[in-house]
Amino acid sequence: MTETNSTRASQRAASVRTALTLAGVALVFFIGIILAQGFGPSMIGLGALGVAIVGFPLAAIIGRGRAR
Amino acid sequence: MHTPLTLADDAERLDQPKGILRWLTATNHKDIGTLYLCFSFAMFLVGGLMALTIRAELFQPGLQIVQPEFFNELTTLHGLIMVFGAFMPAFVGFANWQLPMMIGAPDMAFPRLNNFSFWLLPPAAILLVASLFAPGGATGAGWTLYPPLSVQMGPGMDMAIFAIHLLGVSSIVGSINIVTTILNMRAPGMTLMKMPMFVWTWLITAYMIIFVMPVLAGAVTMLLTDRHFDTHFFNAAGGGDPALFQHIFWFFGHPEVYILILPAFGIISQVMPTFARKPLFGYRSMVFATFAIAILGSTVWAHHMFTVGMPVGGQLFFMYATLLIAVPTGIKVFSWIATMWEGSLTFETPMLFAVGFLFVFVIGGLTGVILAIAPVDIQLHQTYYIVAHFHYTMVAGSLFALFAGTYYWIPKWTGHMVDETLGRWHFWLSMIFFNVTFFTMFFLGLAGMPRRIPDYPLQFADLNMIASIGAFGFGLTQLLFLYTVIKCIRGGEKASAKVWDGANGLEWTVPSPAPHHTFQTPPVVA
Repeated sequence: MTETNSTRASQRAASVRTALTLAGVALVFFIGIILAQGFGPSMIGLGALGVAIVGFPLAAIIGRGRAR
Repeated sequence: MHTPLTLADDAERLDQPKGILRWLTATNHKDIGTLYLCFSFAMFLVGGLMALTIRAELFQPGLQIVQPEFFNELTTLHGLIMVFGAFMPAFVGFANWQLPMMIGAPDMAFPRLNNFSFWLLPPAAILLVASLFAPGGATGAGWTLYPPLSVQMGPGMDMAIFAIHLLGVSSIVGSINIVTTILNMRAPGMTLMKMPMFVWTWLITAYMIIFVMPVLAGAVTMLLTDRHFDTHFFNAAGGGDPALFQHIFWFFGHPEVYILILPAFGIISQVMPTFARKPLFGYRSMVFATFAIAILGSTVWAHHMFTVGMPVGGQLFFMYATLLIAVPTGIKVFSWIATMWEGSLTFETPMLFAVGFLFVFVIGGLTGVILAIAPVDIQLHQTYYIVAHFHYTMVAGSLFALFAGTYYWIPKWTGHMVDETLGRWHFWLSMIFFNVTFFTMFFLGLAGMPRRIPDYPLQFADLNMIASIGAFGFGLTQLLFLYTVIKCIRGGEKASAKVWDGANGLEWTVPSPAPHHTFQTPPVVA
């Protein structure tokens, strides 16, 4: 693989990661606002916070590990 | 600097599909930008026709042209079409055309996704307009779609909900594309703090869309399940809460105002330094002011709901938070004035519209400060004062900035200069007729005329007549804009690469018209 192709591939991978993260945020907001009305905002709020605290570092660690 | 266009590029272009297939399968950011701009202008005309029907009905008291139910459908569709069909796609069109060129990228990060997000729009527009012919007519619940009315309406409401879903998906996908492009595809050397203001404002706007548009989608989904699946989210008879919908709607709706105005700020921040021949005053503070507006703007939604009934503490919070937005907005206004201060000013059409924007936007902003004060808002709620206020911010604010941007960049898009005389006529007629239409509405509102009514007492007759004359003048003036743009596309004085002598930025380093493919080798920004 040439240097240019390698740069483009890594840029593409970075773009896909960014897009998936943003799509995840949009999905959480969409589902979250509906679930919050069904189960109560506090429960959903705490749930979302829990997922954010545990899930995002976990995803970041796995992602960085895979890159190496 | 960038590698110039090669013959291979042209050959690649020749291999592309021709005719309608070219546009259906377009992945080039410039083609898709053109599609967005054409679509948004078509919707602007459709929404404008609805507005003119409304103004024709209100020309004098009594019922003349339309029945009250149809009047409500027109006001609703006018709002939905203008917000989602005209203004948002217009700014996305600008983003598509300009962002890659301004950051030195060859295209958007996801060209096929870009095509997908555009082609979601026409079906949504067809659904909205076709809902007029559904049994029971289109939704007449206002663009806010408040229950209980929206729960009770006919299938036209379902068509509107589905249209909003499509428009929402399109906006979210488009925004993801924009954020990804800006974060990952900038030219070497272009750090975040070297980005043009238009890019900054779009980055922040795109984040706002990603955060708030799913909330609107969630709200209308709940509305849909209330209508058809026996849920009771907003149905008071089943234990639901109609006021809850208002909270969720305005959690989206107020940021939406900033979604429509922040890219407009970005355009003005590009135009003013060019024609003042000075760098933008206070670039860093402008960036942070944009952040501040976005964050504060997302925390003030309930100022639309002071009359719903909320604790005094809540009213005070939303009132003070709303007033606080005047600080970063003021930073922007004073920075633009400081940019012009002692500049070598010339007033070509883009600059006229930029200065015009400043004038009308400040009127809209200051009346917003008045409306932020809870006791005043309770008095003026649902009056024509509100109609005047938000048309000054969203219509004149956004629209004048869109015109400024069009006149500023169209030589780069078409390779031809705009007919300055026609441009100036367009500006002055727009400015005069806009103010004739909407400034009178402040007085109507202060006198107590409620909005969304097809008939009114005699005391409001004169001002309504003036407003209607202004509206028809404003509408006709936009046909002049259409003619000016078509004339520019068809020919005219050739534009150089750097169209305006005070212009700075990567887009001015490529020839005019901008080649189909630009920056295939990234430029290096010093």
